[in-house]
Amino acid sequence: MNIPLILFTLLIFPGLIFSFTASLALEYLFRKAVARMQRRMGPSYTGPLGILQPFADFFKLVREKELVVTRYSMPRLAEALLVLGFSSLVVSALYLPLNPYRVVAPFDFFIYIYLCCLVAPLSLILASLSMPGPYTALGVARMLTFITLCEPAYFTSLLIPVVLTRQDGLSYSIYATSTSAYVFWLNPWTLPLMALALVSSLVTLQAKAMLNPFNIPDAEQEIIAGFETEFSGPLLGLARLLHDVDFYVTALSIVYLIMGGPYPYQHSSPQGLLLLAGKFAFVFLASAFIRASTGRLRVEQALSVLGKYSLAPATIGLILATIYTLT
Amino acid sequence: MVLTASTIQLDVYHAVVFSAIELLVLAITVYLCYIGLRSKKVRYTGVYLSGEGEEVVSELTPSVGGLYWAFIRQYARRIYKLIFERVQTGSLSDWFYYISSWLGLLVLLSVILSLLYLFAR
Repeated sequence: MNIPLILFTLLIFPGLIFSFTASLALEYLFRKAVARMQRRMGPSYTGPLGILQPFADFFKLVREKELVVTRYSMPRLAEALLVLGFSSLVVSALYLPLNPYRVVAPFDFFIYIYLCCLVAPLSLILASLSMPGPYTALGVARMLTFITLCEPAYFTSLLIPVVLTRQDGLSYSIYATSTSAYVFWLNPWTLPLMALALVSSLVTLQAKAMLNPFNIPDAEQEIIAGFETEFSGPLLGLARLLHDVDFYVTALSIVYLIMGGPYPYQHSSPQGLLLLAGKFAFVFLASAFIRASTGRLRVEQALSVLGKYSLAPATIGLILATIYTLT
Repeated sequence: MVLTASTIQLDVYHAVVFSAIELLVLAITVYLCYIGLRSKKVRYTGVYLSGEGEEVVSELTPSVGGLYWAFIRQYARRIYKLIFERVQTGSLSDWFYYISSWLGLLVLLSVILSLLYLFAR
């Protein structure tokens, strides 16, 4: 085991520094794309074309703004939990084939899901509850309601290509699935299943990132900022960073596990890089389009939409994928 | 599939331990960076309750029971309606029929499973 290389992947690429930079850059692109779709300017002043705006926001919140606490708050616990959530998302991203020194294990898909769908949301929920308030409690209650549908839907949609992948000694492996996913798009029998997985995962991406029409847990005008109401200064900076990294890792997982990443080409080849960038742009623009063109749904409407367009197609796809692998 | 030299192949148990160590190292690193970066300014305030003081509510956060009933009433309406209509009719005999049929089913299941266990052993 090459320890310096492991530390490099963990701390630099595609770990800490890359994930931090990529997620904030993605926030800029997302805000700019949504603004353009709505005939607005978007971030324009900080850095060339406003590209440094999310970085300026983050460092201003963390370095300059004051932390507002009450006698019931536990800000140190909230900080530790947000750091844990951020770290779990970065470590989960190391399982994706973007990592040049990757860990491959049978059933590593479940480690990814555990880190991405359990540790990260629970950290955010517990961090919110560490800074209590009536709006926070309401926001957390909404988030918990959402998570009961959204996370199983995300898990099920990613499970479709994982179940379809049959490789000796590497069952339920992220790497094996990513390298085989493009084959399922070319096979007329598995193409509809992959389409179901893609539709379901795109809907889930909006819900996981709490973007329109699923921006209910932090619904402004209704419950102030929901679970983020009591966050301020450095804590708010961390919470926003966690949100950005969550969006980045979820989008990346869809690109690799469902859309097949750069394969059949390698990451280092121009075709591979182009394919990877194109697929990522597709996921990102689809999300921005939904965000820009929809309004907020009520809680029960959102749950119904999630059930119809995310959980139901993913479940049907998974059942059909299981039948296909058994025959 | 070709596993290259830049791939660590582990079994799932070692992968869990490996990820846990990575998570720990990264969390400590991020926390130290954050401590070094963060603002030291802290302001203490009262709890924000739409401009009201803290005395307007008995508890600052909802009780566990309150959260449970809010979830059941708002988001699991069908279950709530079923329980409300079938069990809480106000008639003791309805409740007795419901609970006796349910307990009867459980007793029947336990008898069948015990017999199956005895014969299958």
